[in-house]
Amino acid sequence: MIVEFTRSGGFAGVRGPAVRMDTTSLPPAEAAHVETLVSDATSVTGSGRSSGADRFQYTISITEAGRTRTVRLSEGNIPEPAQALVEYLVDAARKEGHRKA
Amino acid sequence: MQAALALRGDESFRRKVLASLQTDNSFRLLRLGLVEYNRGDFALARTGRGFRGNRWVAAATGGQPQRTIYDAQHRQQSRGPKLRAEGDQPTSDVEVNEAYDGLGATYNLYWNAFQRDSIDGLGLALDGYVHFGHDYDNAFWDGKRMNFGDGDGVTYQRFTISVDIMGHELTHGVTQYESNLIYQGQPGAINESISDVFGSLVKQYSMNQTADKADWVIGAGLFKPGVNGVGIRSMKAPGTAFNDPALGGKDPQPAHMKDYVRTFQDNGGVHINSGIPNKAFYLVATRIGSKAWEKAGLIWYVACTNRLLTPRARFREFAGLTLSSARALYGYGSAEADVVLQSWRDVGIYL
Repeated sequence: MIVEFTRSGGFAGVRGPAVRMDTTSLPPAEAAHVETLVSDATSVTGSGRSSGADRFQYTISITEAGRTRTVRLSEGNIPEPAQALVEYLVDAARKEGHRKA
Repeated sequence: MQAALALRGDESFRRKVLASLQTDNSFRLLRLGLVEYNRGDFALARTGRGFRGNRWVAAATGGQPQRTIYDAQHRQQSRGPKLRAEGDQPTSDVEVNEAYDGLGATYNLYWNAFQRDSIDGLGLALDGYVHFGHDYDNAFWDGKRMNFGDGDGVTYQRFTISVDIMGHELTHGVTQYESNLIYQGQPGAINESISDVFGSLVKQYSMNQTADKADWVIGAGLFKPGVNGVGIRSMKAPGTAFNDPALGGKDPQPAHMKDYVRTFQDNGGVHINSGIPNKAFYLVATRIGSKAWEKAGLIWYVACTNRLLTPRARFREFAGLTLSSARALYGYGSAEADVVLQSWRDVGIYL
């Protein structure tokens, strides 16, 4: 499973921290954790409609068995089943950004 | 609602609706004229023709902001202890003082230049929450209050650092109470541009700058040292504000319709395509000259508060309203109206 995450929007509106992870190359425990977070969030279909001006917008794409599903979610308006996944990805993207910088 | 109706139905009905909308708008302009004429007698001015009847009660106490700054205590919640109320002395916390001063500077521009009493025109109290979130690199208006992050400590400084950020965010509140432009695609980019325009005017007004002396940069000083950029956006030269890997590369803003960016990111590029109307305003302000809030700002303000500006307006409709504002304020064939027409043309919008 490939999970891609990008942040956009905010007052700055610039391309924010992003991360791409392939669960087959993660340590098994980490991979299982990501797959659980994703499966918890499968019911979520984000409309992407912003919950207000200058909030962050999150785009998450999940690719599995050659099929990609993309949802767009607005900070401050994240459906409950996706909250843990978003928190995890925000954190991972931040670490990725710092590693690059 | 009426504007939507005007698009349907038979021609005579459509004409009647449009005529009533025009009347409505002329009353708004008249009311603005009354304000100019009756400076100091704002209670009368604000009542105007009497719709939104409760307006004038609060307006009578106008001219004084009601600010309170709170501590969000690094949580992503607008809750926490009060740090500074209206009239209190400065504190030792620089973010508290910057937020307090920035909310005041924004209030002053709207009151002194446009006789608008706060965000809602009714003297709404201005509440700001500093230290919002942990390493939070953003500031936003949540529909009721302002929230400011401290920055991420790597790329961004605190979000109270530049007065135009407060002006930008509070103007989202003004837009919410006026046109309520949706936050997506072209109407979203107009919404963003309006916030940049009045954000920049707050800074220029607070520095008493003429249009030619202003930097026309949004978020100057927001980047940490070492980041390659002058600020978040340049209204003078959209697309040139920064170029740094920490910001995803180069400033993506276009300055002309031919470069309009189609994207799913950022609510359809609301912070990207705002470069086009931003450039148009910069051209109008510098071509008219003098202080930008006096004429260019007034033209934009009248357009932004025009009831014909509907939530799904596109660039061309907004541009048309700025032209009709310029004609109503300065005359049909006035130099100001010509400048507005020409400036929109220069960014690829033909009226």
